[in-house]
Amino acid sequence: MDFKICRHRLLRCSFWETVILLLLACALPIRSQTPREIRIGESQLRALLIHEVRPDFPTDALGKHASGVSVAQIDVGADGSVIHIEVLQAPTESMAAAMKRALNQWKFRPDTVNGVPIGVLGKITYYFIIDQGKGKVLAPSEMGVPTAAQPKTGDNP
Amino acid sequence: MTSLWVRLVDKVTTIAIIALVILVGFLVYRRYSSSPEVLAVKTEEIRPGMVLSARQDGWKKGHKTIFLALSTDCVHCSNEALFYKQATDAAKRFGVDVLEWFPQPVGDSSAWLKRNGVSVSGLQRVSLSSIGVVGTPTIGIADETGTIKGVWTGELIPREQAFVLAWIRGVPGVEKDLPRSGGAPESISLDAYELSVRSTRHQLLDIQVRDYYHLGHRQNAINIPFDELDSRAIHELVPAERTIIDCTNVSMRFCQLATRDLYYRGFENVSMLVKTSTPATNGDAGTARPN
Repeated sequence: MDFKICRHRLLRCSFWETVILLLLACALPIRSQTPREIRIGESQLRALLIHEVRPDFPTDALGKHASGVSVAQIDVGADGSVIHIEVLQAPTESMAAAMKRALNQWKFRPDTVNGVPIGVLGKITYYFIIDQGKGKVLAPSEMGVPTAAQPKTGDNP
Repeated sequence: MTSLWVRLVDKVTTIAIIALVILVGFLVYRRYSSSPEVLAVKTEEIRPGMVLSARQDGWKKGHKTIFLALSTDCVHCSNEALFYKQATDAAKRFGVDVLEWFPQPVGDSSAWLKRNGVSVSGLQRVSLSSIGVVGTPTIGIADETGTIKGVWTGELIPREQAFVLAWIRGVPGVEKDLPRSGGAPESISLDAYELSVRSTRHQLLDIQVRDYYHLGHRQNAINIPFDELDSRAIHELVPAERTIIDCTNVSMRFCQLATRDLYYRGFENVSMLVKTSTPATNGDAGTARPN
């Protein structure tokens, strides 16, 4: 019987299909707007950190008395592991490599939006400084505020 | 009997199709219609000291209130969604009323809030300009009497976010930390800079992204990209020195946000280097107008 009805109402059957397609079309933009990855600030990113490995101060850089700021952009997957690292700025190649080696071992608490795990993207900063002949690597929160009378000017490395 | 069944099924399917067509039409109308329902007409820009109205703004007497003026198609609103989630969650826990104003239909706004994990409460559809909101996102706080204590337009810098969260939690003495306006920052034209200011003692800050900085920058400019100011500015610049932000190669909006950021971090003497000597105007998101 159903077959009979459908056979006599081919137009209606196709109309149903159209209606279903329209409903799907309405629903699609909603799904496509669900965030998969969000960009967050360094303090927020560090708040999600559960395992930090600090970069080593490379011995060759110490020999050259090289110091300065290193910044890397990291891509954290929905499971909290680091999936991509790009060192944006580093005083020397060896410091960039040290930064990359350390960040590769970092683990984050997975972040969620509305219960859905999401990846995060953010920047991490470290200061490579030489203090009394020893190389130190400090996070921004461990750095002091400069009080030098002479303002720092000059091109960044 | 079979004929009766066929007629019945025919009628039911016809009614179902008509209902579906109406439903689809309604959904499409809800999604794409944007004519806002005007709740009130205010000619004045919303600012601290103004009083929220129960009839016009949906404010309820006797509770502290946080209000968010957002839009589903505003990129900066999406960028700030995590903070709105934190703020609305905290508001729920600490008994602070939340008003969420959107120009879009309530269904779309509600879907946007849910998608971004923000609690839906006090959601209303309003014409933002008619209630004095100049741009989205705008966030504000009002005390128990409905008096607005602070309004910020644009993305909040971390210090402002921390203040709003502390205010919601009722941290004792937080009111004294209410971010105050530093007034309009001084604008220095390029001509004035080259003629006189350049030779004076100052630190020139370039907030362009790294790649653009390397393509070209002013002599002696220190590059700290805008999104790295939070973690680097205080360690690489000297707060006591005069700081000039090079605004000639970035949007005024970013420049003003950077100015606010430095100001709140204790940099008291911050100026903006602009192409002309006319006062800086708002970009697409405006500036903070806290008390």
